[in-house]
Amino acid sequence: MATHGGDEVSALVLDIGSHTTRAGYAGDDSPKAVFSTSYGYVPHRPPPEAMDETGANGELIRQPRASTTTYLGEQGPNVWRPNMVVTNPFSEGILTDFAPIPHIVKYAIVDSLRCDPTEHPVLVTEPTWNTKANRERMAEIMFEDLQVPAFYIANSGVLNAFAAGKGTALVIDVGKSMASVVPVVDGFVLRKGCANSTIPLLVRAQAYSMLTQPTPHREGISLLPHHLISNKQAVDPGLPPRFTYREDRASQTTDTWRTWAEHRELDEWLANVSAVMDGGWNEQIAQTRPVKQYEFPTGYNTFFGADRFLPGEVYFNNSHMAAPDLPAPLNSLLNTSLGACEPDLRAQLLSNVVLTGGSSLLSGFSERIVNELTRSYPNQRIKLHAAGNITERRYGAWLGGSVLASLGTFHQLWISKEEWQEHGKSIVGQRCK
Amino acid sequence: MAASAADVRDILSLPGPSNVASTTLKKSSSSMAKKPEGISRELYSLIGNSAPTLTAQFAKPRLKQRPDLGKGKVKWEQQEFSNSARADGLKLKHWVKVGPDNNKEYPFAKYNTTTTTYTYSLDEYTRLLEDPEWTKEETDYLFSIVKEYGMRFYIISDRYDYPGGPPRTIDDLKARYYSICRKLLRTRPWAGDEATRQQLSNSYAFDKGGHHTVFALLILTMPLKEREIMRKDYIDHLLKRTPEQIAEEEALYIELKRLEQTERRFAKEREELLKTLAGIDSGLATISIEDDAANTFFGGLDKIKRSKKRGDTMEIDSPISSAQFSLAPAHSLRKTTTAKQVAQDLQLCIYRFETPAAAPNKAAHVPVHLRSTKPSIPKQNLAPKIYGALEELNINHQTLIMPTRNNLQQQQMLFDATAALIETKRVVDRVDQEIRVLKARLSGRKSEDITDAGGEETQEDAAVESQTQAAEESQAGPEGDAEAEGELDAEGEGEGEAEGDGDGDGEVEPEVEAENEDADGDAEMEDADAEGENEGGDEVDGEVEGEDDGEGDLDDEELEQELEQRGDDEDEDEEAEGEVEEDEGTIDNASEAPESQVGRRRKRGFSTSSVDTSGTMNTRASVKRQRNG
Repeated sequence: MATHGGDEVSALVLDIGSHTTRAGYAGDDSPKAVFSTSYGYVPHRPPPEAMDETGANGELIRQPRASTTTYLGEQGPNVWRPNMVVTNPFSEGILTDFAPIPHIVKYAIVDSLRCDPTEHPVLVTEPTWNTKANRERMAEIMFEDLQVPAFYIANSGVLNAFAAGKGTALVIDVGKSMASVVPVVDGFVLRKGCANSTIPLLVRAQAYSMLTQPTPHREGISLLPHHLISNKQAVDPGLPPRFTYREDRASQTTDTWRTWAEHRELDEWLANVSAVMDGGWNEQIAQTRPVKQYEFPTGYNTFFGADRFLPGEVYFNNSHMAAPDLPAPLNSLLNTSLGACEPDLRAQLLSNVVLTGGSSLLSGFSERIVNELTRSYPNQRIKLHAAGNITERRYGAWLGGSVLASLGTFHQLWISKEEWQEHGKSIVGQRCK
Repeated sequence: MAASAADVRDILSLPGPSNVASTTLKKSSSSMAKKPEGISRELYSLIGNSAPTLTAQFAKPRLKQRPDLGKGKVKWEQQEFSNSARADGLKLKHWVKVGPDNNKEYPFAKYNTTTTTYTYSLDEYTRLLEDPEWTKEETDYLFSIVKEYGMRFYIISDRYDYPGGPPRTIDDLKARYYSICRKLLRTRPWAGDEATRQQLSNSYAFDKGGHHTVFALLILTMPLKEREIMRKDYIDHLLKRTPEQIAEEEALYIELKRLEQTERRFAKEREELLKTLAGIDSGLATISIEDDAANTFFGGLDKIKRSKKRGDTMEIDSPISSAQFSLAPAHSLRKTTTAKQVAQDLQLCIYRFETPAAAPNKAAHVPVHLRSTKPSIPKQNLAPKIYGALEELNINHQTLIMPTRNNLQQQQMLFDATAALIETKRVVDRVDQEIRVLKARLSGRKSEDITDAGGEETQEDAAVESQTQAAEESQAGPEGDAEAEGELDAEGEGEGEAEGDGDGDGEVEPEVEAENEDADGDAEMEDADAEGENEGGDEVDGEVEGEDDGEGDLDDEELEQELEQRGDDEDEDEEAEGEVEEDEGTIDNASEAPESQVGRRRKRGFSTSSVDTSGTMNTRASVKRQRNG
């Protein structure tokens, strides 16, 4: 249909992030399949024949790699398995391990969407700091392994801007492991103005140490997941938990799985309790904010007052943390990014700020961003677009991809299989600017 | 909704009322005619056989008509299509309505537009486009990347990466690209007319200044690239202002406005006071309220901050005063300001537009009128004199045959010139008178005191100078008049011709300017003269004050009176002179020199607008101090 410039060609959109992988049909408003990018595998497993029976369930994928099985999706790392190692193909926001990518892509397209990849053009996202080799490798996987008819790789910053309905925007994307500020002009990323850091990791580290370290008021909190607790009893707030640890699993639990599970609990806590002081750090005001009760899987529950604002503060100010080489906080990212842009552009960008990414959902985050920008750029008109819808905020890049891949005018940009065979890898750089 | 009998029958799945209906209908139709006696027609129609429920009951139940949408079923089909905007034969599938025109062009292919970019041959490059800073290869690269990114220079400069080339800013790239485009446009044969070519060429001008009109004219002389860099520099500075600086600026702005207001109020009060004391218009030059410097500085700010009240500063820039006297000074003031401004404006990148002589504001708004109904009239108090002078020169001032805009202007200028002439004449007369008086005094004093003769002589010199000036001026005056007259005549002759007016205008204009300058020159001279005259007056006052001094303290009231006297018309000045003549005998020679200084200072306090609201008060204080010291 040619209304609103859209023309559906049943394209698929695949957004592989460091936390979750999102897949769905172009033109939809939310991804059909969302699963963790982290995957589990059990090293040195006995012959794969034994796995074939369980593999029929769909959650298990036969792993061509040296006699191991990759566990993906809902039944992936989320299920405790003896000696299962959990890893993530991303490090510092960039794909470094391409071995599991074909499995992840297949899991997303074939197992989750139940699509035949040879019939659908696929649009894949990439972060701004992606390398040339990476995008070419992704194209190779798509064309060679999945035999897609057409492929395109789009910048997630641009897609986030599109998802917000803007061609020119300053995209602040705060993800699970990376925070980035990307200026987008006319649908192109200004590469010189991009700034990113691993500040979200620092925030999680801070939250982790804050919770697990004992304080004068309480003992260190255990972030044991449900998988390792056989039973528990209700306790009053602040009292030590009474639960039974699953000793039978203790010896077979790998460190990576445990870290993964603990960080999941941590994320849960961050999402439920943590917040950001919208007007900047102020101990007195933080004290007056309402306290929040939270119960951990162990049954331990307590009230969090001012300290629930501490981790979020790290996004904006880490000068109090005495450690070398700390990742840059968001406001310095903003200043770096805007400083690298032409003076003419700044006003335009500041009036089109787009805030996206799952970590930006902390309460008070968008207000704080506005406040920081107002402080750095007084007498400038600052307009922040932060989607109120949680799905839109978390899957902004996917949504932008969905918009882009369903546009009639976009279909001339696909890299077709024919072109891939004719030009090879260089076509990726030529086409996807 | 009430269920009808048909519904009930439906629910109970009873047989249809077809046979019953026919009989009852017959019966009802037969009984319809007669109406029992004693029952009103309305009541019978409700309870009788023709009750609507009954007829409805027998009607065949009908479903709502299905809307007729015309065509019937629409068939959709997933079809392969090829996009003509693509170079390869990629076939994608989309759902389309099945119809006859299935093999038509892909509707979105037409949006695949590219910007037209220039290309040049090697010959053209070597002939025209050589640049020591650019190699041919890099220029080629620039053109390819401009084409690739469709002239989006922000992105071009972001992606620009010529191996081995020097770092290029966006301005370098723009300057190079647009200069080449312009050169090519200029040298290549052009099919269309010159205007469109020029227009196109202008469109390739680097930074058209379209969105920053502030720069449009004043810096036009600067190289375009430098201008652009400067502009960005300013934006950068503007962005980098700290909140404190912004607050300070804001505070200063408010302070300035406040001072202006106080100044205006003060001026108004003083005017009132003078009016009540003297009973007539004070005749003092209207004081330009705003300080020139501040005006220049904040003129731009004003424009930005209060775009609504645009006329405000402009008005003050060019005060149009009602006083005959102030008309000329106003011009000279404006001239000096602009001269001063040009430098400052250049520095601050402020471009100010010339305001028309009558700045359109609400108070001075002129409704639509026929020009002939509103001939220019000289100032009321001078009108008889001016008319007299014109009579003398045999110029008919009463009828203007062609009241065109230009002619009216000319007439106005004629009046102005005549007024200036009369004024000059008056001044000359007075100076003559003064010289006579002073000479008399000199001769009288020479006999009295020989030692003080020097001081007197200088004063006399000044007086003589002013006289010569006046004389020169009076010579200049008639000339200006003659010119004006001649022009007017020329216009009159040109009337008959159809095109004469336009031609005449073209010829007249430079003359008008010249005359304007003349008038200004006159005004300046007059101004200087007036000063000289006033100094003379001050001296006179000084003498009077000296006398007072001898007696005792000087109070403000007396000063005020003196000020009034000075501010008053010539006649009173003459009176004052007369007084001086009377007081001549009691001159305190010792206090003369300082007193004249004081006088001058007071004068300054009066005529220039100082931001200090208590300007004159201060002057008064200093007067006292000097007198006491």
